[in-house]
Amino acid sequence: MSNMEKYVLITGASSGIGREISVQISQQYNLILHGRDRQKLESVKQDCNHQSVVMIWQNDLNDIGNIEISLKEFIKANKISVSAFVHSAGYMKMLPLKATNLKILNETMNINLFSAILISKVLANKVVNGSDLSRIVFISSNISNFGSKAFSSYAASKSALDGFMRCLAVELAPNVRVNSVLPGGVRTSMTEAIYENPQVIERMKAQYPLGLGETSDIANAVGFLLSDQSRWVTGQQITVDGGRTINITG
Amino acid sequence: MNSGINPYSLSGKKILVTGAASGIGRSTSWILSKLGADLLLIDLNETGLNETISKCATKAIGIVVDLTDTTTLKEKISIAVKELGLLNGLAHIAGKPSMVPLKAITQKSCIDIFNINTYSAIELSKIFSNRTIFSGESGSIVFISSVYGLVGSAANIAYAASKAALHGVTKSLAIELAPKKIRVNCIAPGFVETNMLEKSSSLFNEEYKNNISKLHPLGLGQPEDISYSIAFLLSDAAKWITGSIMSVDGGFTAQ
Repeated sequence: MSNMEKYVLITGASSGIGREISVQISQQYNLILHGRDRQKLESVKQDCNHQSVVMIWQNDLNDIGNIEISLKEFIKANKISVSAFVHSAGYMKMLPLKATNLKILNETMNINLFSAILISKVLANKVVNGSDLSRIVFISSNISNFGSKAFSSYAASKSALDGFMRCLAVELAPNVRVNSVLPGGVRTSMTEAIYENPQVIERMKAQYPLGLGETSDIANAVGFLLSDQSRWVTGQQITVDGGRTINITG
Repeated sequence: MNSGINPYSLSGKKILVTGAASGIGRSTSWILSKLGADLLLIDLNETGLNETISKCATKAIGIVVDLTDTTTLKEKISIAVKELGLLNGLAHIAGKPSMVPLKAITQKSCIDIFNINTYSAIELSKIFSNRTIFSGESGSIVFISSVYGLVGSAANIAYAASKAALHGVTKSLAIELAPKKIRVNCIAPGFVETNMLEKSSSLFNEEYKNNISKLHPLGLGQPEDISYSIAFLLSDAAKWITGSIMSVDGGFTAQ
């Protein structure tokens, strides 16, 4: 394995939090940018540190039956090994229960949860990826531990992701550290629908003791969890939400 | 890392650290100093404090004071701040273990533990947030609790209560101090190999230590494992994190 180079795989790298993480950590790591849209990923690659090797894995996580094979082939074809995995891809559809249907549930679970599990499985497989895997960071949500109207499918997928995270942390210790970052509302293309209404933005501002956050606030926490400085942190939910979830006065 | 700025740097910041003479407090002082912060270091143990100061790379001023002595604490900090400059951060690391079964617990011993582990955090926050002490920028307070503030173990009542209380303090203060631009967070460490652990486990044998180690999927921790998380929470990289309890415990509470 010594001739293989080390890479961080970031899903959902074409926009929002995944894009910001990619650009930031390209200062220290080689990257595999994952997303559906090659053109968008090429544009992210342009913003990354040109000293690093940046590869593109084009794949639709909703095509869940294909993920394991696609990733195995990608690793084999490029003769690389992946040392860290950041699952930033996310699917959020705000729907009340009565409007929820199996198609949306499947898509939510495929993208937010099942793909994270199957990608972790491939990367932890020594035949496929050697023994290089050492860190996993999931982008969960602060809704993982709380309730909100019209978020049931999304919240269920994120709570499940954190349940998986804790078990994987114990199962893969001490070789792999596994943690989640739980962001509060950050304005990205995924959450744009929430921010369409100016009244909602005002209401949100009042609920966040530190005001609204930025994608870099989330990327900084991911950077910390990928670094050696968090050597003894595993199985944890790191909430980055400007104090939203401890605020009962807002 | 936009425009080449390192958000994890503490360069230009001034930080107060308690319990700086040994263990996590000492390693934190050295790491914060390496990251560029000037320091105001507090401990009761003058010899240990001076040793810590001698290996700091940046300016470091020591104060020898008992944190439970609320009559002189503010004055001593005020005098040191005049020399160092207004503060950005507070890392309250001083603490005391207590392993006493219920039948041997006394009101006095409980109150003593509460005073050093909990009330001193409140008193220090009160002093720190005063505008004659706090610079008004990049404000961050970090408390140190324990896994025993989150989970249970026998003969640990006073300690667990004092540390769980810190979690309440963290969340309340986070809301109260947000308008002042001060973030408040708490780290809950697992078992770290320090003298404090040695003291409380000296009654037990190697087997006891092995058993404790087994509770941590990543093994026992080192002081710097906690220090780096403190440094992260004090830095601007954590500028949207407040009111959080961050477990740094080698996976102890994930199981």
